[in-house]
Amino acid sequence: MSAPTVEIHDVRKRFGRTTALQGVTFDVAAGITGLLGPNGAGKTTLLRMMATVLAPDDGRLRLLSWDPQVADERLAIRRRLGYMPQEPGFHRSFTAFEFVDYVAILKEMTERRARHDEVRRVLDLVGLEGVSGRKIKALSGGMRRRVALAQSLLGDPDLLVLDEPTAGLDPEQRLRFRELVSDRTADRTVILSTHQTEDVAALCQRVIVMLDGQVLFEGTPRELTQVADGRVWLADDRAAGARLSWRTADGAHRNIGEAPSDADLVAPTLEDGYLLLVGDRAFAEEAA
Amino acid sequence: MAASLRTTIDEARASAVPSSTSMPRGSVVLALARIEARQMLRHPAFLFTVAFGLLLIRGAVGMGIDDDPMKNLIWLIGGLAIGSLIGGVITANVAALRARRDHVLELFGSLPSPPEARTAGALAGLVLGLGSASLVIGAIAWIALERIEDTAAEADLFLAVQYVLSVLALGAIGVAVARWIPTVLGGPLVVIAHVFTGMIWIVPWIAPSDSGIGVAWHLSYLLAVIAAFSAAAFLRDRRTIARGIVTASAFVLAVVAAVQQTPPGGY
Repeated sequence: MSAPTVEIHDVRKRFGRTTALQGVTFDVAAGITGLLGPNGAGKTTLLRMMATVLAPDDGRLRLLSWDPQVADERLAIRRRLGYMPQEPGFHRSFTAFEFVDYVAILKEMTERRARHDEVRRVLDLVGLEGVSGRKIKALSGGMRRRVALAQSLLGDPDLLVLDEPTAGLDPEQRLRFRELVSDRTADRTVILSTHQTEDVAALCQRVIVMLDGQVLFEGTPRELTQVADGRVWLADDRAAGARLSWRTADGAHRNIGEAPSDADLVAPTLEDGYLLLVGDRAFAEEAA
Repeated sequence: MAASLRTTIDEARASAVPSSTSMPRGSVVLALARIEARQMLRHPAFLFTVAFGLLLIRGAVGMGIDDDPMKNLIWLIGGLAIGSLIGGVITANVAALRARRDHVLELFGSLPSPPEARTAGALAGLVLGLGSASLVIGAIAWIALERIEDTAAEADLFLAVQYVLSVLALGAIGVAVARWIPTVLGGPLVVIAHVFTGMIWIVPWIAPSDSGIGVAWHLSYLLAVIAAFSAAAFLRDRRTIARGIVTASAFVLAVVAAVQQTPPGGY
């Protein structure tokens, strides 16, 4: 792994009585890193910290070699950061162009012609060139998320933090998103949180699985898939030892769990590995 | 109330890490001002109140209150002025409230420009948009009244200047109210407070020069109100001792000027 651009060491965060993060530690290098985990796992809290909008209660965080707790360094980070929040708000009375332009100004792009060229470039990248003059309140949910994605790409940031960027996108848009993100990661760092394991499998060099504010797994998508090696099989019915089981389109049951010796094993997917990993922990907690 | 609570929580979240710098770049403020000016001038609240002011007065005149065409012109100018004054409060309030109302504080918190940039952008947009528009209205009214023999006596440059400063002062109040009371009711409440509580008569905003009002003190009063409420808006962005002192000083100056402007025996 090349030099880390994001270093997180023993980071903790509480909101009142709720512990959001309890000692999270990992490094992220250039490339695309996926953050997986169920709702409430602490992904969004962690991404907000990486976006410099939330401070940890304890622990150390370094982004692009700078400390976000130091004012001057935080400013340096923000100048090289692109952030798409989980629930991005919009100025609904603005057109898509006007809103991205407004964000571009707040990103200190003040030379008007160059800024407008940059706004048009990012709107083209996300396929909104045809509706850039339309008011945001008139755009569909998917289009609005693309507006949010467009603003995060302004200035080709070194660190791109995307919180559920593909939520609400149709399959074609999701493929376009993959193309867009994978095209620009030679020396950039992209961290994306998602519930779409297919996106992680298709895009990410690294994957981090979080559960209950802790890192449960850190490795490659292949390694996460391997968690389910020998534990996915097809059967006519739901198997007794299966943690999860569902009937597939061809009528067979896909079972995930401890396979019997005579099971008809099939190649696992990343989703199988993720489900087993998260399910194993949940199962262990239940037993305890 | 729920929406207000939500914005408060959003803001608390977004401001958990303070902005890196308190001084926005001048070029950022200017670029924001252009956008804010455009947004204010074409905002439905502004257009509606201006049109309403015009139509209300025009309707009143048309009903035979005053058949003199010259007086008619004065009434129309008055309607335009009242409409833009009220519209100015509401639209400036809406502009300063926009980021909270639209839940973009988290996103904006991750950007290099501090919240002061948006506050300064709204205030500069107020000057650039509503200030320029009121300057044009005031200038046209003054020139029109002065050139027509029957109305020349009504032309008062002091009135025109007061009108422009009053638009800016009410706009600054709209911005400050939005920063401290994050609700869409803030702007209308300011208007209601002025129109229906009689405050406007205690401290006049626009008074003819022959009313006996202290001209220099009155202009100082309007400028102090602009400064005080602008400073109060910045104080909401970051509460520092220096900003508190500037805000308090501007309010003291406004009160002193308000008292001093009053002619002997009361206004």
